[in-house]
Amino acid sequence: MKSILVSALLSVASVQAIAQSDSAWGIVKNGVQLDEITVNADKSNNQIQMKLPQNIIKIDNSYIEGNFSGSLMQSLSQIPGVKAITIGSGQSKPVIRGLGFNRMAVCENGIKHQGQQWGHEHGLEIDQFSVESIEIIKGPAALIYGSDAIGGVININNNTLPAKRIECKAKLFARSNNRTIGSSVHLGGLIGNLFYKINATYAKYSDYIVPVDSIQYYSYYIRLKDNRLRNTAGEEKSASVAVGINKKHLKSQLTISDNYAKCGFFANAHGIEIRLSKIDFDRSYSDIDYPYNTSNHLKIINNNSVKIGYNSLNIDLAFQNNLRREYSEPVSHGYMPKPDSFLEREFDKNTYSANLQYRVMHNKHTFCIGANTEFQNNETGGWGYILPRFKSRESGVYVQDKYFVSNDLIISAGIRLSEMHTFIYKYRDWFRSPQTNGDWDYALRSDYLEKHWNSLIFSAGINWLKGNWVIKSNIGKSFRMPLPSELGADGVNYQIFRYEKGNPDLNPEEAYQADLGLDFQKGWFEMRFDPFLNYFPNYIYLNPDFTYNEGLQLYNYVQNKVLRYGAEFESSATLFSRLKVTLEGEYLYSKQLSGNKKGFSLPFSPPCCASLSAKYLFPQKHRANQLYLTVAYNVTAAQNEIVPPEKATDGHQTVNAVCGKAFVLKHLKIKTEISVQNLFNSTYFDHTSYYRLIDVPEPGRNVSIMASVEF
Amino acid sequence: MKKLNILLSVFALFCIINITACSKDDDKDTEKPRFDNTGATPADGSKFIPGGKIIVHQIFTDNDELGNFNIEIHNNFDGHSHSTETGEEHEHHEHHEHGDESGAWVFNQDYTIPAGKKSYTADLEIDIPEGISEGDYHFMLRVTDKTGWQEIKAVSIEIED
Repeated sequence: MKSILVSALLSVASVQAIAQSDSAWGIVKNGVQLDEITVNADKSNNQIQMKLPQNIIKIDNSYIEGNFSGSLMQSLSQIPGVKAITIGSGQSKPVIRGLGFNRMAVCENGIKHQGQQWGHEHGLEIDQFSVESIEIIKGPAALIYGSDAIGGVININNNTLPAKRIECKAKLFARSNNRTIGSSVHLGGLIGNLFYKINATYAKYSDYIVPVDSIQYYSYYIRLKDNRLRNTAGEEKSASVAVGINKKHLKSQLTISDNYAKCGFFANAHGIEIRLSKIDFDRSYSDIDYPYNTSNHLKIINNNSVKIGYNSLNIDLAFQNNLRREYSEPVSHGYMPKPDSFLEREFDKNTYSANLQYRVMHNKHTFCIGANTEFQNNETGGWGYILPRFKSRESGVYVQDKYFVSNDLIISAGIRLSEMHTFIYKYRDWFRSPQTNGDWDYALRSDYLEKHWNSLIFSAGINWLKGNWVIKSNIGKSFRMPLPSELGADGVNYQIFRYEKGNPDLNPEEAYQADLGLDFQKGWFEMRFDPFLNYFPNYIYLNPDFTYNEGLQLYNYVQNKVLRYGAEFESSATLFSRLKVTLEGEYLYSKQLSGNKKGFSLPFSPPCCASLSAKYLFPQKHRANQLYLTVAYNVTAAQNEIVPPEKATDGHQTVNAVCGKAFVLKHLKIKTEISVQNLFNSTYFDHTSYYRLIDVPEPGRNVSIMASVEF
Repeated sequence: MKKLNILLSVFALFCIINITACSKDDDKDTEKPRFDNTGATPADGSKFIPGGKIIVHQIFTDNDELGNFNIEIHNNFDGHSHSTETGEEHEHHEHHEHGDESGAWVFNQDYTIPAGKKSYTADLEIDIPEGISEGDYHFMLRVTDKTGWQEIKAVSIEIED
């Protein structure tokens, strides 16, 4: 009995002490509640694992702080199964299990974030420092989230209540590689039943440094001044205000947020064509010259939750506006004369969303009946046509049941019926070119097209808590609506210099997935193994063809059968209650089973990788203080599974280290952290980086400092 | 210590799985087509006159099967460059007076290569129209293979009387 008590206390001590800034492990970490973690810290992990049959990881803002990088997805990219397609050093796009772009959804307070996700060089427009907590669901989640939730969902929750009457947090951060300097402040509080939260973040960064002094692309040799990638500087400004009411039976929150980013693109290439310009990019590392883009994302979200006995009704309403502009020096191309404006592309999207969900608890069942609808209006501008103007609508109704056979065994199943509608407007070139009949005319790039689809999907799963194990299994079907560019493209994509041809007969993409989750926890040892199998009967693929159209290689949209499978693995051992050793890794296999590229993989397939890290907690006088050192060794395998126009990427190894101190001073909680990424300044290429296409290596050594004060 | 041993052997096993699992398949075409520049014309820096001809001679090769090719000629009056000619730093050629872009010549033509070829020689003539703006131009060749890989080559030429 005594030994059980001792080991229980030891595991409490270790989990409690480490819990503050753990790696993503399904354990809820909340800096404010450090002293409230109970003996059965394991139980909170189980609670999360039992919540959904899909693979789920929950992290909070202290994880982001501890791993912070230039953008949200870069900060999360250490989590197995989660990757970032980076665009320079300050922007990135999410990828879950190799699926990104429009094959995964990012939601904020239940509302799908709608930007221009289809674009390679469009980053996710969310301020990482205002994020309260995130749930990452890996696998098909279309039941509740509808279209696009195939690879998974990144569910950002900014719905938590302030913990105190007044709380204030200020952060200062800097990164050496691209001379980032920034700050984020948070103010929140309670006034009776009302609450408010205010956030503001500002960051500015310069051209980033790579470990080489020149880049060789084709056989063109580009010298880099002081190893800096010219014109990759940028800045980001965000602000949000939330007000709400929290009563026993009603909780309501209204959030208004805006995220603005300006980001330069490497000046010596435009897409994949080398460009030289007369602009003196080297006169300053921090100025942003052509080509660059700006994005502004405005969100107004209203979340409401009403309790009716044991049941609850949730209603969410939202409006978003995403305005993205891409500027570059105009040049003539083919029959297009030199335009007289610097605005190459402009996208203006208004999205209106509404969710409704009614949850009923009856006997051992939790029924969920819901509906959601989203309407988008997309306007375009600029001289470089890629996407027509369009409107789209998606609506769905779903029913889900969770049957609690016991508290330890839950069976869930659900179905969803969705309706999708797209209306695409006509577009003609603004310049004349020779047509097939020999006349010169304004070419029709996109004709009117109206499409209507229905989709029926299902999801079923099981969660089983048995002793030290949580075993989950899930099968499901997800879908996504074809994009207007996939349906109706018919023109030159000047960003990447190819001719893209849509296919108006595309069907909504469907994906079937089966996955398994094995989670084991016993005192000092935790382990997790999550294999999955995924099949698309009709994956929409932009296929490089051997023919030329208007002088550029033709890429056309086709639907092929695709098979993917893989697994993520995480394990950690807490030794001597001070040292936590973690081993994590992931593997992904993709293959096209039909069509022109049968036997090939999919673009941007992440190679398999593993990471071994050790975190040591130094003994501290005060229980609430922490001093820790983490060293991580990351290995990435070569990626030889490529499709045109990619190049194979060599494997690489990097070392990162973090040293941090958290302490309490009177009423202040102070955290300081210094971290080094790419400690040995290795030259390596990231297969999923946008600049990989032009042979730009990843940033060199970077030292980051973060200091935060909370009271 | 036993715990550490278990952990290290699991790590070793995982690394082995990682490294061996990522081997490549054999029957896919993963090679781009190539330019064989033996006797290739036009050469970088060649000069032509309006009303004259550009004699094109270029050998394309591929490990599997060639696709098609394209020739594009456009002006370089603003000094942009996509030179793929040499491995050294390529200074763009000394600029002549900037030509008038509205009279600049644009040539773009797709050509087919017969199916089933691993090697193909393009021999053709391009007529340079009269009265076009004079100055620096780019001569670009693009070639694909059946699988969809593409290779590009560009040289600088001058067109003036």
